[in-house]
Amino acid sequence: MNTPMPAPVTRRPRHHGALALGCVLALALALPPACGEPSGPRELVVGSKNFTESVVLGELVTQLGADAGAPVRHARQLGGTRLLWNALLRGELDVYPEYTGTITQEILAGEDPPAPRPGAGDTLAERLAAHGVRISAPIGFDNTYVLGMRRERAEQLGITSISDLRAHPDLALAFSSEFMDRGDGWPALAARYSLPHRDVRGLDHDLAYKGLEQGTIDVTDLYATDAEIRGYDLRPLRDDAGHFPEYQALLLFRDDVPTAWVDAFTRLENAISAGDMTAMNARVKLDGVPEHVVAADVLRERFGVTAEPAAVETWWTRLRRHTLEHLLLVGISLAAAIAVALPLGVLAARRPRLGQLVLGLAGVLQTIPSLALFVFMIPLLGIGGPPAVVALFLYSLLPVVRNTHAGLTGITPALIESARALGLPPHARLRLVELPLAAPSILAGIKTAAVINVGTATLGAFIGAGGYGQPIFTGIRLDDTGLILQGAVPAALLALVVHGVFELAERRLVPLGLRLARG
Amino acid sequence: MISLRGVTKRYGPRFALDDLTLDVPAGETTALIGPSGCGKSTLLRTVIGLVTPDAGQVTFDGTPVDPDSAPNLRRHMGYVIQDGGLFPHLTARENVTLMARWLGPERGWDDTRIEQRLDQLVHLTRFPEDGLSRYPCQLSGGQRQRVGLMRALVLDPAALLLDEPLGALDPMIRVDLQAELKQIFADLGKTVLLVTHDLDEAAYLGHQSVLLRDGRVVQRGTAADLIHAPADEFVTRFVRAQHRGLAAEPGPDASGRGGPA
Repeated sequence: MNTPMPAPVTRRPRHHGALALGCVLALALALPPACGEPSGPRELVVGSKNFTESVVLGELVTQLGADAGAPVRHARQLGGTRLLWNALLRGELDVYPEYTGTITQEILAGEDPPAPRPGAGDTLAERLAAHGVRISAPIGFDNTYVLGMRRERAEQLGITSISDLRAHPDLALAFSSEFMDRGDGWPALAARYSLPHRDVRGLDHDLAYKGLEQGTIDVTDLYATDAEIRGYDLRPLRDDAGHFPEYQALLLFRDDVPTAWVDAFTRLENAISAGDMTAMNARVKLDGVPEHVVAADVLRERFGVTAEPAAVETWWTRLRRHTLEHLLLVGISLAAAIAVALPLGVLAARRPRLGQLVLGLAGVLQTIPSLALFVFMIPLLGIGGPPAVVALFLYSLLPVVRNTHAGLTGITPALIESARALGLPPHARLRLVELPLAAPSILAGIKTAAVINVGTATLGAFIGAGGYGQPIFTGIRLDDTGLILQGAVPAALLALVVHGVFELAERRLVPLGLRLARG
Repeated sequence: MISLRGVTKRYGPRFALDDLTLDVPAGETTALIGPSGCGKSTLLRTVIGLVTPDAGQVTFDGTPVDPDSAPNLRRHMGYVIQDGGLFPHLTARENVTLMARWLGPERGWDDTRIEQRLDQLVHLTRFPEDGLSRYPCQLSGGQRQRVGLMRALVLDPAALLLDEPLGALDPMIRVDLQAELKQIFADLGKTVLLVTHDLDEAAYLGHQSVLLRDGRVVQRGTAADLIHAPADEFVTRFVRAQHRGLAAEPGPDASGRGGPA
């Protein structure tokens, strides 16, 4: 024996996976609510839904709040009613514009039988108070649902009211997905009017207008103050059976909002007529005036409030902000996914039975539609950056786990055996032999995860996480292709850059010997 | 040096090793021969602990080989497989020095010592110096085998285990390398356990040969013993099968290579 016996190699405990997972959650929770924006002491956080009127109302509230000296932030165009309502209950939002019909039919629908036409605010206010939520007096217009057709087509068929539709069962109907699902939406409407139509689709509200214009659909749901009624020359069909409840616009706000701020934004009570609202909507949607400008003009004319000119973002600063937000979402979620998925992939390769379980679970995660995954995160982590990061993290796991597993299990057994026969202990074998040999597969997995991540992160805007999705969503809402491209083009470029970066990384990280051997 | 006592290993219903007892003498070359599936590779792998026997015991220099002791014992046994089993992502130099570098200066392997050892091995195996920076895919079969041998010898192990080391080489190169291996074994004076299916190779390289069949030792002795004093009909058939065609030439064991002193 010429060599001294080396000390036996002790096995290290393996909590790398759990440790990494902990790190992700800690990181996600440490993120400020809306990625990148600092959270001050007490802020007035205004929410708005993903349609123009809501955003304009949100701007009005925001600027009135600012005028009253509140540090105010507008979480614009968030996903949907439930999302905003829950954010309001959790204190992530302080105030957002809502409609009486939506409150009774949707928000409080599960509690007791919906009141038929709740005009008296008292009962509604009492029911909301139980949730710690207060309600303003109506803003002054009723934005109820109506069904609309192109005037030309309606005249041609002689349709003026909803009951007239019964005689034309072949018409193509398309409704916003919210309208398809809500208590007073399509199913109830169809039942009330005995409508026989089979060709009924769910469609984004803004895409529905395009469909009407192109003649691919005949009827859609409209809001009474929609700018498009003017813009596309639509005929609203009379609700002759009185099906739709009132949709009085008003503000919902938390009962802990300071009185001075409440006084500021309740100046909107009874101040805006349906005509005013339609005009504001039309200025934004048809004339392309930004919401905050439209809101500022109205506030100046009506209340003499000169909102300090909101720091106008240039095209460039906006792009920079979205890029930063997007990179944060992608960077954190991807780094965390790699940190967790690599050890998981190694574990899966080492313990085949556990491996099947891990791969199966990661596979199931991948089958969840990405948008749904984002929304699932909201009850756990609220709105903004953290839930988006966690959703993207979960989404990035599978490609990395699967490719790590495949890379390790695909190594020629003779090589593993050679490494064992040398006397290398398991961790050294992994580091010096197995991971380098699996590197091409692992890097390919990370590259896939990164490119998917960049694309999927655009959905983060849906839950208020910002990023390139913001201009895309706004662009769809405003039917502004230029705006859509401002998000879509950088997102595509970023995906290409990420792809290129990983190609370069591959050149540096995949051992030369393997690249030569591959030819 | 290496001893197996009643070692049994089953794969399903088939016995790869069947109550096998064998002593491998120190400082000599022992060749394990036999037809495919006779258990000779399994025997080699039990010695280095890659296979754990179902029954019986393997000891190396008095230490029982088991899953706990194997990792350390392996550093005292060099193991060479067909085509070298080289790591494709490492250069020849990195393949050879991998284990020494992992052990590191705190266990006596500083850069100077590693370079010295590499230098010795390059001379021992007559490996071209400039080939050290090449990757396995850039080396010839014979060169790969030399790198495999250097890698097995880097820690200067007490024993050398070779599993069909020349099996993947074409016949001309094989003959040259056999001569070199023989010289290397003689220079090293180490305990060598060699698996081959070729009686000529066993006779040429081995001080003694062990013929296996179905996981048992059929006969053990010099190659001349196998030919001239076969233990049973199987030995005769095995020898005849290997020697058909060569009947006119003098048997390699007739080359007058004596037994160990």
